[in-house]
Amino acid sequence: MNRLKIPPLLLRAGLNYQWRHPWQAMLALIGITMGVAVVLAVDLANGAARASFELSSEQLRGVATHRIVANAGAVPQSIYVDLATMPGHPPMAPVIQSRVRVDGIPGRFQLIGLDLFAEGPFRNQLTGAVQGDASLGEWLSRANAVALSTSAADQFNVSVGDRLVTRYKGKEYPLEVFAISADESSGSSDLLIVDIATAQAITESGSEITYIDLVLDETSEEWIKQRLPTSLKLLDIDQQDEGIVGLSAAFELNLTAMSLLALLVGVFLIFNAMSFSIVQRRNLMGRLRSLGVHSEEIYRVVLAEALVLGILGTLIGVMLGIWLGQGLTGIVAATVSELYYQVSADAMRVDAFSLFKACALGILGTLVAAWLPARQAARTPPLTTLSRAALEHSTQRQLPRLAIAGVILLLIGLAIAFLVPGGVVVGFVGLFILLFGAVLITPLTLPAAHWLLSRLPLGGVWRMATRDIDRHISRLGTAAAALMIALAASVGVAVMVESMRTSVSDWLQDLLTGDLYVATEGFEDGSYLPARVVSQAPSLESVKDHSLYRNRKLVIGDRNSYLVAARLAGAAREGFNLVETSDEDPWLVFDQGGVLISEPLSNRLDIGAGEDILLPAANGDRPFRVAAVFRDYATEHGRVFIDRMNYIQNWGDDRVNTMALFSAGVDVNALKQRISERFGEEGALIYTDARAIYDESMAVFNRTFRITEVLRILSVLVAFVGILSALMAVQLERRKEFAVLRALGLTRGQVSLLIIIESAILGLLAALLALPTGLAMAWVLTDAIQLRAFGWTMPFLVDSSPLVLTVLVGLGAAILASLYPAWQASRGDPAPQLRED
Amino acid sequence: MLEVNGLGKAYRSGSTTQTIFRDLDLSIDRAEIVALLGASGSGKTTLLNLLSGIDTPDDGQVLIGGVDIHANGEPARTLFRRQHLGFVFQFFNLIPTLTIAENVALPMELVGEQPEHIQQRVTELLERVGLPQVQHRYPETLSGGEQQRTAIARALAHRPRVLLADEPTGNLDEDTGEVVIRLLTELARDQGTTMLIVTHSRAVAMSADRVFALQHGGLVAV
Repeated sequence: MNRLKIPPLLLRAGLNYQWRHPWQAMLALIGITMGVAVVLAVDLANGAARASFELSSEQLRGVATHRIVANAGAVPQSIYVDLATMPGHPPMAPVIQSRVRVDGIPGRFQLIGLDLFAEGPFRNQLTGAVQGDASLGEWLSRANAVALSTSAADQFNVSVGDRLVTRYKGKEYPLEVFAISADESSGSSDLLIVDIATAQAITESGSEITYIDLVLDETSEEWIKQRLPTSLKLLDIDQQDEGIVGLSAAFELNLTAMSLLALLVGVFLIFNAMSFSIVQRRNLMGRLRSLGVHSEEIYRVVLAEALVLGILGTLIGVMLGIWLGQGLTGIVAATVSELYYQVSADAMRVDAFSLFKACALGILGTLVAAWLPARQAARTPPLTTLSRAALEHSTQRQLPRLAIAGVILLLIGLAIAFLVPGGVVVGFVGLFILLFGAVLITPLTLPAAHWLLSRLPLGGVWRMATRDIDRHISRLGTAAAALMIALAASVGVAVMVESMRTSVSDWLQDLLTGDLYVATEGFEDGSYLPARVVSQAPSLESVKDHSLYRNRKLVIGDRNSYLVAARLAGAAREGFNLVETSDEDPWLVFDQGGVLISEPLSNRLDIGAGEDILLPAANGDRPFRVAAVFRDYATEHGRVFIDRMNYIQNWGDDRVNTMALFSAGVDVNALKQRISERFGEEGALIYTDARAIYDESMAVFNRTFRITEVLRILSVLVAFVGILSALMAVQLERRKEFAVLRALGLTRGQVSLLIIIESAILGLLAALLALPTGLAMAWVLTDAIQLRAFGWTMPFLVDSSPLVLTVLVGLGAAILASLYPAWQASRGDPAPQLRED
Repeated sequence: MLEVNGLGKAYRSGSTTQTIFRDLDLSIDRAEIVALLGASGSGKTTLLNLLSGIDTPDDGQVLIGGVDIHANGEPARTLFRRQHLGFVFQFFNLIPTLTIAENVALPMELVGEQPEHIQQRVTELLERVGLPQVQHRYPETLSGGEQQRTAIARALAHRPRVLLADEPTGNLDEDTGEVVIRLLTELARDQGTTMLIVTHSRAVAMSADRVFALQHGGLVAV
């Protein structure tokens, strides 16, 4: 049907409008470009981290379907030997997996010890480089041979025959590069493959292995289960991978949400640009309607304009996103490597699906943003029977209805974020509804601001400027809303990060009650304190009290969590912030065999104080009474504190990783001096005072949130550019009005001042509205989304600096935006503008 | 060609009702030119809006070529308007984002004419109104008289049955106004187009076949 098409001239008229109003077109383009760029960049960075993990995990598992692991500690090699020599056994291969450091290269790397005789079909991709008959013999005869992937060799800058010095728990172990796989895809950059005996030597694991991989069907699974001792368990390898992938899921989701926020800001900028262009073109639409152009055709033309802008903005955004993605991958890689697993900074690959998602989001986002303005345009009556004043009047009449809808949405958003059960996604849905509600309320604040300002004894240009605020509500209302949301996003993220930083800082200060912490080199990799230090240091004269810590990983509820076996000094106990206790004295329960569990673990497993938690003890799962739940930001996967004696009884392990000493009145340096004199011959002991640990921990925190900070700066940038172009478009559009004022006798300076004051008021208003909206957003992020994502709660703390910054950005951008229109309105002769049709 | 029967229109504002017309009748033959005089606020523009289907009457019928344009909804009225009506406005109302040639081509494109025919007709009309040299320029670069001549070419481009002109010389000086009205009537007569001109100017009215005045909600022959 003819009327369903868009006549080409009509489309040309629409696109020409954008071409002839570059500020508006630019605003829309900036919105979509920045939105798409940030979403794509974060997606690519996340993808790089995910791909690194998946590649490494896929190669490590090979064709294995199941894995035998120990409930606690390692698997005795004898069990593997027993199983492997039984008739009818399924294919199985022992593996030693650990993390080592490599001298001169930051981060930790995976050391994989494989038995090539047993490997058979398991991991051909990894072992291909050393499986020829000749090389196999040589490989087995050398105690220090390591095989690397090409990317790993590049990273370590080594070639075959070179030496590679590894460190395990601080102990040096040199390896010689035996083979480098020629296959580019044959190993991720963090794998060091050695013979199982070499791995045992490096990790000093004697006759223990980390796990046994198996290829099982239903029958052989049953066969294994019948023969497995209770100290071991059989895991489905897919489930185990999910648990490890889950390590970074919350981190990834947080980043994705931040990037969607940038897109949301972008969509509002497009909405602002499109609705502004429609308001400005009401007469033109009316003319077209009088010539017989159908409302449906107008609707389609506006959407087609948006589509063209969307495609253009998306293309630029994709290019910018790829560039930005490279930078973000570096930051994400650093964070993920520090927190979870090794990711190379140059791991970013531009994949088609990410590009497709970014393009779809950009183009659909633009169409969604343009939908409402397109409907408004389609409703334009022929010949625009509505005057400008009538339009403003009609817009003003709608404001209370919009505001009521806004308040309702705001409450619904809060209710969803805080009350509706579900994961992080539900929290973000609530957050976005809340933000949309705030947007709807914004335009009503313009007449309110006018009412308030009109009470002030202002004269001349100042009075005119305050009146103008709600005289142009159809144009300024959406601009104010768009600016408000851009600034609010920045406030929200900044306050959330600051709340978290303060909470972590308080938590660290509470926990770090000791004066001096003693460990051995490599303690972060799990090295132990010499037994003599553990037994004798506490009895030194200068030591008043001491705490001992043994920190180990345990799979609790299908996820790697931490068990801390501690002998806690009195002062150390006071450092725990117990957020949930039962009726009994928590420390009494702890001393009598109970445990303290961290808030994230309590939330994840839904176990509270007074209930039992099942822990994999050396002889199988055992219930422990939860004495209390403590506030903890160490890990979202959860920690369990158990009394040291209780731990030794159940795990048969009396080793200690760290010791905290409480000084008996002497200063820390003197204490350090005495300890080092006494235990100097015990090898490389590390003495760290509480302040240094605190500083290092906060540095880790800051590095972790660097990516969030980068995204926040990007959103401030989007906000700044948005304010700049929105206000500039509004003011440039009013050139004729300013020319009339000039003709009526206002001086150039007065017209310029009028423009600057008006812009400043709008920018300030948007910034002030962004404060409560941003704080509400921060509240949801801090108290609802953090809880859903990480399982921890934290006090909602507001620092004034992001609030002041927001007001300054809003005001500064608004004043900057007004300078060009002010200069233009004040220069030359007003006649040309007065003559404009 | 154009027949108005018992047309009535009133506007309500709060508790007051202002009647614009009551029981208004008018009949204009094919190719006839009728001028409508009236003081400001007498309802001249409202009548044009009702005749073109932009506004809807409270009572009565508007028949164009025997079709009651208000018998159908707004979408049908829009399609009828694009095919059978032409407009010339006081303030030209050209589309600022289209060139002069494109402005003239627009109504033809809307009714789905072939591009070759559109091109030929645009050239012919622009020559007729004396603007072949400005066809690639944008409206704001033209004088008022040139813009109104473009508007005339646009109004007649798709050979409408009825041309409605609302104060076509109201924004022009006397000499330019004369040129414009002469061009308008000549072209309308050549094409056999029925035309209703709303004007303040008795000089403009003189060029019409019949003249009416809108007084107290009814039409009076002058």
